[in-house]
Amino acid sequence: MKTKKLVFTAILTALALVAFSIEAAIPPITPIYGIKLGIANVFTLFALYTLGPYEAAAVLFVRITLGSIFTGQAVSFIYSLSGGLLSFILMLILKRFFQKDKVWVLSVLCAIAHNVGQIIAAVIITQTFQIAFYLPVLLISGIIAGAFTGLCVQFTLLHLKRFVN
Amino acid sequence: MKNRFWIIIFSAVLIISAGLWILISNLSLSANIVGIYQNNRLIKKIDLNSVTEPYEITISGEAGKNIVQVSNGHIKMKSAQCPDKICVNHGELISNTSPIVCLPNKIVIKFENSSENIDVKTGVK
Amino acid sequence: MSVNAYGNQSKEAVKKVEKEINRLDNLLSVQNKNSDIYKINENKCISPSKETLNIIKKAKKISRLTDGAFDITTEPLTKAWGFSGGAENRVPDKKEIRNILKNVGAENININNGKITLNNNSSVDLGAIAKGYASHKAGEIFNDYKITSALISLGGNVRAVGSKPDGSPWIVGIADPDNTEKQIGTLSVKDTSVITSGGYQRFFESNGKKYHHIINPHTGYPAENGLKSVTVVSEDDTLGDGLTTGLFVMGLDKAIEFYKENGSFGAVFITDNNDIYVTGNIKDIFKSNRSFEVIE
Repeated sequence: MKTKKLVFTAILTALALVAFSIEAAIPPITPIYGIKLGIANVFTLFALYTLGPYEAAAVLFVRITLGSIFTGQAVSFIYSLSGGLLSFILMLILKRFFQKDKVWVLSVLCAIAHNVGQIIAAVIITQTFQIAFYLPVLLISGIIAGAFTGLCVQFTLLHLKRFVN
Repeated sequence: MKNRFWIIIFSAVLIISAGLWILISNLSLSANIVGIYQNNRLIKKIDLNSVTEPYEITISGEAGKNIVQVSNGHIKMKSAQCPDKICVNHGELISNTSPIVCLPNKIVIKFENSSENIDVKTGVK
Repeated sequence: MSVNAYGNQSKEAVKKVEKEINRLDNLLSVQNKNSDIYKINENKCISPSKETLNIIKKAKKISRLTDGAFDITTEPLTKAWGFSGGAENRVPDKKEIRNILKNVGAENININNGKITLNNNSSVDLGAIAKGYASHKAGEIFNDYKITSALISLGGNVRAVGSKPDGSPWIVGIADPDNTEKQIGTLSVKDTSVITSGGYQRFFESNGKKYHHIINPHTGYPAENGLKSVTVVSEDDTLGDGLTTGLFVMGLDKAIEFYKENGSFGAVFITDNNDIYVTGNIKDIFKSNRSFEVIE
């Protein structure tokens, strides 16, 4: 059982990394930093619902670390990490309130937390308060992207009942 | 039933954010003094109104070179060697609610405040 | 005049500084009948106090240094233009100025054995360095009282003693010549004097032309060398005060040359076109929202 969990965690991490790298290679659709779908989060959420909090943490943080190394930017590691940390904490706290048919709600909330975390880090690192004015845009993109990734997980969970347990 | 509750909440946030964004975008400042910062340090200050001939400024950082293009009344990031090119896609600096930011090279281009607190003034009677 | 000090015994020190400034005003004023300067101009030959003697010696030195661009013997010119006392401003005619100019120049002051002798038609005015000397003396008093945080402003001549109470530098704004309510930039300073001279400070208009109070000792007319104001940052207040006038008279090009030869001071120049030039040695403490050139 333990080995099976480990293998699944590894597979999900690898998939998240692939998704992250592909997304990073696509030119950004808007000039504002932080607006993206965040498909990699599908795998973190999926791990949280199928494997458990520790495995989800592993998927998230290994992906952030390796992803930053692969895309080659030390700074983006800090931004990803601060966003990832905030959203993961929220994910752990709120998970019990959202069953498998409400994954998309949790996902939206986490996406928002992720963007807020990134903005806080950017404001601190660049000492430029004005970056906070991006918040409304990042809220919008967080809701849309979060709903999308959340629904991905939700449908996967519903259709993979047998596989999951 | 419960799904509808959340949809309404998120839609409300969406609409409010969109409104705020439109509001903020229109709050452009009339100032024309622009500061270029790297690693939180002011590296160049430009009065965009006093630029006669367009010129370019090259800034190097961890993620390669950025080229800033300056012309009368306008400033933008012309090119960058980082992979995401967000600062280049930003286009011209139009308001302080959206400074040009290059996170990989920690460059910020924004309008400067026009007044500063002073303790005393010299040159007055 | 404003004098602010922080720390132990600051009240006593401020009182003493104010007393000292009044004493110097009485000693160096060109109008006060009991002042050394008034007596020199009246009698042409006196033995003034040692202090007055030293200031005049220093003034002569600055004259030599600036090739006569700064000069205390311009008193008859300032009078002719109506810039001294309560006189009416007027434009003197060319002949009058030519006549006065014969007696202008530091060579008309002779100092011998503590005695000052002026040429018969010469007279002196320490107005261009007296405030600098006064702020220097004020700084000394604060040092005697071991005060490490004080700010003195004598009619816009600024002396920073130490730093702000929190240890950060004093922020001195440089007045915008076009609107003194505003500033064109700031200097962050500790233990130094910041002094500005500009034609905008005192002037009158006649037949649509502006005439300001900084008279060029070489021409006898208000200096028109393309500058609106000169700010000098110097640890020596008296020198700094004299140099603002001297550099203003020289104009930008000569002033830059002068800076390159005697760079013991920092300067901010504002030209008639509102361009700002800052000497390299103070470029890091100067901040402005306008763009400026650095003179290296």
